[in-house]
Amino acid sequence: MEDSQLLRGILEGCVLAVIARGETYGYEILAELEKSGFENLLEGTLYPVLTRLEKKGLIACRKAKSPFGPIRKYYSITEDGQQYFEEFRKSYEKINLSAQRILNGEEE
Amino acid sequence: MRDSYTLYEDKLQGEYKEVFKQIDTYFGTEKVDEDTREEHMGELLDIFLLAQEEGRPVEKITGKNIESFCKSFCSNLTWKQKVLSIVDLGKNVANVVFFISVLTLVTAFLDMLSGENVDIWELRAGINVFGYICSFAIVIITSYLTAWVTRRIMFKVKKVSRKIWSFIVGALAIIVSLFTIFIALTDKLDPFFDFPAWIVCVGSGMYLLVYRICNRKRIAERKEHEVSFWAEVKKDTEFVPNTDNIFSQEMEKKWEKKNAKRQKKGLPAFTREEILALEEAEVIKSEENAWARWILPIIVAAGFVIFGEFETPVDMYWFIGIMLVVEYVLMALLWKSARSSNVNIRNWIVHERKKLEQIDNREE
Repeated sequence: MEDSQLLRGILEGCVLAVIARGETYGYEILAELEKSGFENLLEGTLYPVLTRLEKKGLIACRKAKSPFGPIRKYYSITEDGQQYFEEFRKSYEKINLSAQRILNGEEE
Repeated sequence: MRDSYTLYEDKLQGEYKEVFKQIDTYFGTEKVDEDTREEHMGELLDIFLLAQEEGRPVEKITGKNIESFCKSFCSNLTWKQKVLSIVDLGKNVANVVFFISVLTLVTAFLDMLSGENVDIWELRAGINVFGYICSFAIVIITSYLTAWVTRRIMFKVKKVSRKIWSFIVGALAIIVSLFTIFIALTDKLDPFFDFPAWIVCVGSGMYLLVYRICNRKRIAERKEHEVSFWAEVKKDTEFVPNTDNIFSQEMEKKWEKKNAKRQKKGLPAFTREEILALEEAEVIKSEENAWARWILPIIVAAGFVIFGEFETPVDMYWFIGIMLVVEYVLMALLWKSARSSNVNIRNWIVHERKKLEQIDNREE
């Protein structure tokens, strides 16, 4: 199975996690995810995720001029986003625990 | 004017610029509205500039396959954004149609005031609505067709062929534009739906009003990100010491070309001191000959008075008067531009002479 299928399932949650730490922008999000081990994540994959999160109302966006000149979008998490993220984290921990048990052949 | 991402594209260099241009071309084929394009490409340009600043390879942003990246980058574009681009195009057409119909009605109104018998309700605007609709359809179909072909071939052809393709697309665009203008304006197209001017005025006016109401948020956002055209021109053309802006680059290019020509003829290249002296001489000559700008309109006016054929002296006075006003305004603008250019050149000369003095002092 390709990594991309697993990635698709958790990317929204991971991006929310980065944004939840504080207002940030696309390049910083990409760098943070890369630092955490998402090595092959590209801007082309990230951008649609950010757009989806914004459409769902989970993140808010403000535009400001970047030091280089173009308009930069700064993302921050909304209250709905915070709630969604907490639920995601709980679901992920539960699934991760079950998966660990199955994959490592542990008994309950 | 809009603070567009295109104003900052030139900050990219080498591979960053090349890849960004490819993505920009691909994005252009998606035919979305300008605001969406500005948002997407502006954000991507910022990321490219950051990556360039940090020396991060382009591949880390786009991956090895640019075509895949483009498809992924454009995957969240919606049909609504594509429809908006057609609506925006319709607004531009409505502006032209509204302007022509208002002009027709105002001219008719002035004719009525001067005693002519004009039926405002039956007065035609001379606009063939069918022709305009055909032109609009031709533009949409051609642009979508070109976009479809471009997307299919742009990653399959070599760099040189890409330039040839760009030339072909540019030439096609000019031919189609001329054809659509002809279709819109010709009176030989059947059927010729020339509605009364007031109906055309109200119709196009309603389109513009509804457009403004439905696009309030987009229009407000555009106004937030506007910059003054003259401020941008000044930023690039003003000489600023210790920066490598367009003015300094253009001066260096100018003298590199002149020296290259001299060397081809077997003549020695100008030294830095000679370049500065020649530039200074040109500035002084320009300032000394400034008086000619103010005499020229009078000579032209005199020509019209002597050789022009006016029905009455009043016609001549009106014509000469308006012509002189327009010419002097143009001359004033030209003089302002020339004076600003001379100030820049003088500042550049002073700065360069200081640099030469510093070099001489260091050598001593």
